[in-house]
Amino acid sequence: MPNQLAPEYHQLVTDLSVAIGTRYVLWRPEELMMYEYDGSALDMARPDIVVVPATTAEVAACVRIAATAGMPIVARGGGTGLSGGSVPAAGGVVISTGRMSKVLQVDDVARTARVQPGLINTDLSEFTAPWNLHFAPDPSSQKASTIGGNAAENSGGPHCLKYGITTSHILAATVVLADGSITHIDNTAPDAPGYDLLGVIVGSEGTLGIVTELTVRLMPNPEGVKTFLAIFDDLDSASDTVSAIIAQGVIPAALEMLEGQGIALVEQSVHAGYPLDAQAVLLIEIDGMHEEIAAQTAQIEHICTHFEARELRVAQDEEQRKKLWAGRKGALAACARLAPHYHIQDGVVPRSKLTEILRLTRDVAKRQRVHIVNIFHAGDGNLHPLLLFDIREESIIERAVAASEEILLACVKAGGTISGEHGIGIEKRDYMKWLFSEDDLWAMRQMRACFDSHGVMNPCKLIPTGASCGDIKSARAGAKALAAGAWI
Amino acid sequence: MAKPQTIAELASMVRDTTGPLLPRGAGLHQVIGNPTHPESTVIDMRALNGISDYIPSDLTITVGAGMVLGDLQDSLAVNRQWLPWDAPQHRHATIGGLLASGLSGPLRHGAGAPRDWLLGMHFVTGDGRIIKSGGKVVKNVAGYDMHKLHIGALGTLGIIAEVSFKLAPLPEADESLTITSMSIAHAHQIAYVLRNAPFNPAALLIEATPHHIRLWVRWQGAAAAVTRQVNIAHARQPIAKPTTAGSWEHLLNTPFSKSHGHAVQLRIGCAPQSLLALYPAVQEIAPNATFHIMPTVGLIRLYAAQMPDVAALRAALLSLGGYVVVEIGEDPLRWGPAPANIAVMRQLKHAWDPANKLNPGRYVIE
Repeated sequence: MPNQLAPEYHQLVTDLSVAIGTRYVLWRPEELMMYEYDGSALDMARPDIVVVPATTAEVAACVRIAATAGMPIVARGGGTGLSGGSVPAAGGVVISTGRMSKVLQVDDVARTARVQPGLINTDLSEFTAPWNLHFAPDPSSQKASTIGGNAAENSGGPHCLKYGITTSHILAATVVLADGSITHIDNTAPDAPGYDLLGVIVGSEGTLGIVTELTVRLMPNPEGVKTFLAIFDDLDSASDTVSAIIAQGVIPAALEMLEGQGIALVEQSVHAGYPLDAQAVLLIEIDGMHEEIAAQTAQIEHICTHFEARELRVAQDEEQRKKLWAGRKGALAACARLAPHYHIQDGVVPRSKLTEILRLTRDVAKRQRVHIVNIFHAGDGNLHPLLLFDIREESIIERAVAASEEILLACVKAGGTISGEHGIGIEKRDYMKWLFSEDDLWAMRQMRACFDSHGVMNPCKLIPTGASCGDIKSARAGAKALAAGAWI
Repeated sequence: MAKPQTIAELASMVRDTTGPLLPRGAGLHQVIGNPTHPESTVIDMRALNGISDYIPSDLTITVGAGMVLGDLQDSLAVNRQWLPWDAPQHRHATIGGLLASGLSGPLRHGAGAPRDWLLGMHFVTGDGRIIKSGGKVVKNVAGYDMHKLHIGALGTLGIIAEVSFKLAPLPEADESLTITSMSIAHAHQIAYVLRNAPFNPAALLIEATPHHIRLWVRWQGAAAAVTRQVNIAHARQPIAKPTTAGSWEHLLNTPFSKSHGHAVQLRIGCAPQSLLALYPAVQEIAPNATFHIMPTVGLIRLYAAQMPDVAALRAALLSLGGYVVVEIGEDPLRWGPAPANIAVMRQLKHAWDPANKLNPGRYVIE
């Protein structure tokens, strides 16, 4: 908790106010509370101060002031993160990109856009729509998450199956480093001499610097799009279908699975035409030239028939397609109908292991007596087991955490990984050793230190540390979260 | 000369050898960059050429960096899969060598760069540690993407030992055309017409020699889609001539071969939207050169018998945003001005290779 009576604190507020204006320096407790948590709501920590700068120069000034005062620095975009990336685990200064949310320039010949980091993902694609261009990375959070946040986490989303994840779509960035210096890394002239620093900055979860401007790649809208809903009476058939589609070399634009109760909950929310009585559905979207769509349609029909899909529906128009996607992307919220609290996991397995891991998930749910719904990016093996519970239930948090860990470990054992898109943040720091040796972590720490020798940039994230990392109110620790007040 | 049979052996060799080390694959691109240290111990990587993990149904593979890319493609073709990556000598160079040299080719237009297909890596640091970065599955955000740093790094940050890639299904159809043009600018304009709807090409390259200028276009995908595009292209460009995948390979390999007397190879990077403004300067400065231009990617390879006025080229690029690297040939300022973040790069080099064993003196960071 910030010691607001200390003279150092007063000095910090003053210095920051001089740099960016009093109005944009938040220090009142009721203001700071809003920045204690992110979308995961499992790890919470109060910042000392929140600042909302408007320009790269102002961000740099804030970083300089915070670093000089020995304060950790944590960037925050939409606050939708699911691994605690924007939670100020060690306190410090949260730098919000809320006032840096513009599209600066669109070049429709180069198919690029220069944008500010606080720009909301869907706002970008809406802006570029008149040129028949869009920004391909489409995480489910896209209505609220920002491009800067997408870059920090190397976000995925359903369409990254065909179009790649965020790192393939960032061409240049202006970055404020830990000492307040400003650097511009530009790959628009590709393969420039020097190491690919942008390649490590994207996905660095705010630990290497703060991105204050980006040049992103825009994709041309495809000639045609076709969206299917494949309906199954058993989960195994649905996951076998996913594996078969990929195995046969059909790479859809998106291939999502919803199963069990999740389907009915989603349908109640959006009325898109999801069946209320299916065990599993696949939302399959293909795009491209008309002939490619025709060829892929034939293959998908064949595979779904082979695995005895009950029905294969096609979205009749753009309206219905939008509803189907709204259902999928709003699934997390829809599942609030079932229970007031949740924990969403994020693991990856090879597509060939999908059926096996879903069976294991079911076993784990039964054994730990936790409700688990699966709504996820089946096409790239990126699971999102959604654990639903009421935290007032006796021992449920321990059981949910145990269940979640069991599934994640199984992903690793199946040849997968501990995070497909949500990031490591605070949540998975200690699981990094399931994947990485001490030498691997040494290499990462060494690299991080090259960018930030004093460790002020988003400390306590991504890499396990020996030192204590602040007094985080963590639901993982047990009942502490309840003391912070109920949340929905 | 050392020839490790396993990654552990490689790490031991690195640890136990004092003095400069020169990791080498097929040796086809060793000539790129500053000269090698005369007392280097060569480490022949070609025994690290096995497929250690291939899941065809997952479209992912892990292979030794010493594997020749052509051999990999042949193995993948059995399952109707491939890695969409072309480059000068791509069939005969090793994967590690191609990654370390940062080489790619016109397939980059449709498929993206090798960076986009690379899922993970094991590399050996200058002090002999085996480091893992990334993983083997197509989505992974665990940890930093350290593997990306090694692309184009000429082995100075680590010896690439084993790599994991995502793969693509082989396209049903693969057809190409060449279109002769009177000027590079004109070829560039046609390239952009063929880039836009209804077209969706896999590759575009302008071949400009003192004798002819040709736009090469390649389409891949469903047979009917490829046919439609080829037909429309023919209708709009009656002088278009069909060509083959084999011709692409010949095209990419030929200027590189010594028999053509090209002693100089420059790499020019330029934001694609600035290329039209660059062409007149480049042609004036190097009128007898052969150019391979990727007009939508923003890369030009310049092949010449004699070194052109590189300083003039750099001056032309200054206002346009770009760079010139002298890949092959003598130039005191081979890499151009130091990159903006060279301090960070040098620190990283020092952290991972404290004794500066790995290809000392060869790359821009020194």
